[in-house]
Amino acid sequence: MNRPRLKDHIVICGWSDATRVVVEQLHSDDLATLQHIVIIDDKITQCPIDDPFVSFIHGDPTESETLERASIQDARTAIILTDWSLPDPSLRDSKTALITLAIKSMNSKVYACAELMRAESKRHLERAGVDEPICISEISQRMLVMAALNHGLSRLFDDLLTFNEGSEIYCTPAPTAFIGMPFRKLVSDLSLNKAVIVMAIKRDKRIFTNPPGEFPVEKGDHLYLLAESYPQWIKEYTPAEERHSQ
Amino acid sequence: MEHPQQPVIARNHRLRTYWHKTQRLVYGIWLTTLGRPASKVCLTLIIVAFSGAIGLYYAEKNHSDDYSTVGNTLCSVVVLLISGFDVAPPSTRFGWALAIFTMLLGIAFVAVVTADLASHLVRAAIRPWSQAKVQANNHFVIAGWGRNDCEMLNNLVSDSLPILRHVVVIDEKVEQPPIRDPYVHFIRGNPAESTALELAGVRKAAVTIIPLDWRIQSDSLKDSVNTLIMLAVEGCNPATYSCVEIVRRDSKRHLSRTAANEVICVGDLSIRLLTQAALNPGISLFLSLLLSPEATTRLHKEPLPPPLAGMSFRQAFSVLNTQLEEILIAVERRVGSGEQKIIANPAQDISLAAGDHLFLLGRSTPEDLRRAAQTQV
Repeated sequence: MNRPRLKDHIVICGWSDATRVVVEQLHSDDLATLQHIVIIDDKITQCPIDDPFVSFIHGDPTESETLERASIQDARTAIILTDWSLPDPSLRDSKTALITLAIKSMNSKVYACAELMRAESKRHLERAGVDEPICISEISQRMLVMAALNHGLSRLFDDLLTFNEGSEIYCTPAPTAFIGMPFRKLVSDLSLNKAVIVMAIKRDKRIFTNPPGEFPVEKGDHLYLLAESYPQWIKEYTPAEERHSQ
Repeated sequence: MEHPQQPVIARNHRLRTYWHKTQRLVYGIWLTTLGRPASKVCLTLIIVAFSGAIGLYYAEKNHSDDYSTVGNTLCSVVVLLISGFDVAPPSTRFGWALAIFTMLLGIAFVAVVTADLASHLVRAAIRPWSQAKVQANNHFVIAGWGRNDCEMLNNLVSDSLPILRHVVVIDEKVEQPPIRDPYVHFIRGNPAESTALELAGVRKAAVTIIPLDWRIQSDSLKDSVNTLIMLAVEGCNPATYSCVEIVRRDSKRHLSRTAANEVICVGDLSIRLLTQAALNPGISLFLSLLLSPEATTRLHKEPLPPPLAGMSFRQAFSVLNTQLEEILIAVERRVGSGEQKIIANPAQDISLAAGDHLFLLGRSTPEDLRRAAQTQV
């Protein structure tokens, strides 16, 4: 069957019950655009999700032929899920590394997010080309500590990380109109006028969480915002030509 | 413009860190030296030597050169304590009584030091790590230690935390404490058994953490082990605040039947993070920073200062932002059935009420908050 050539879509490698949750979240009404998703898996034969914006490729995600069918060359993001059916955590991470290498060899620009089991595997995965390794044992351990120190914190994170329920975190380029504005004033203005909370500024690879005193917003900065849905109004503060380049 | 309270908050933070470092040092010295029976006997002996020297000086100063000055008498007393009558014998009855008493104490001193040393050696030989009950209050108990890194422990005893608390780790497979710190204690035993939990003082613990045992291969077995530990903890002290880590989403509903206060499901968490990372590149780093107690700007929960009760969320946000540079993220409120509801950045402005708790992003302490709220009034 000929399927239309996809572009700027999201490729998810691996199917489990969790994949359904990922798709639901990626297609949340809170988000600005509805993105096409391609799921690759070699254990199931049919697409388990009935959605015109979700395609399914049966095959091994470490094979280039399968990845080609998923138009990986034109994909914007790849999500590599852990294969929980494998018994050994280090085996799971090995499979993730192999899939990453296969993807990156075909499209080095794709933004790869991978789930990994062991903190020791993180640097290997980074070397393989993963842009955002999510080490579950590391994050959950930190969450345990923070929940022990600040009771209820895990529930707050549940809320912040779930679309369609309350507010979520969004990362957006700082609009031109905000450049030069002190962080404190920006926090105050956006809270009162837009019901949006600015939590941090990302500059190059550094993140400044609630920076103290006079900390001006600079060109190229990104803002981490807490909002009920994607702040569409932010485009009004950015000239059209700049919006296009972003 | 910088608010006048800002340098005070920064200074308080620095002072608190120094204070915790000093506290840790003093407690460490106490444990290794002064807390031991032999050290206590030594201290008693020094006190006895001084008081004995003064007593002998007054009784014997006119009879013997060895007791003519306080310095000479002190030297004589030290000799009496260690080797008996190698000095001139006292001439008065009171002097004799004091000298004999000092000599007997010297013998006792040698006996106690020898016994302490012997008991230390025997303990080290037959029982590698302490199985003595930990005497602590409002401490953290970590039931099970199945990980290689010590980040969790380092974070729990971090100097930058507002309060320094003791941590007790229970595990039966590990042979020694994961880190050497006077505030970290270790109980070798099965965390699903009440004996080990009692030794860890779980009855008086503020929080019990049940982390995943990554040494177990099967995911469902990992969750089963943690459920059993949770039930054991509940049996010992249902009032302790418990945080349980599990792998599978299905296990979450089983845990909801226990008294677990917070269930952290790694499967759930990673899926949500992956989705966020796909949409907002770099977000996992930001969340890691938010989850780090070592960070200068930290996410913390504080009770609502009474003067802020009745204010709207946005008003309180403005007060905290301008006066303390704190960002108000969410409010935790008790609803009908005793359940806690978290409202993050409410779209419809809500009024804050007594009993609410605030989730804040900043550097202030509860005292700073109280002061700022008072100033506002």
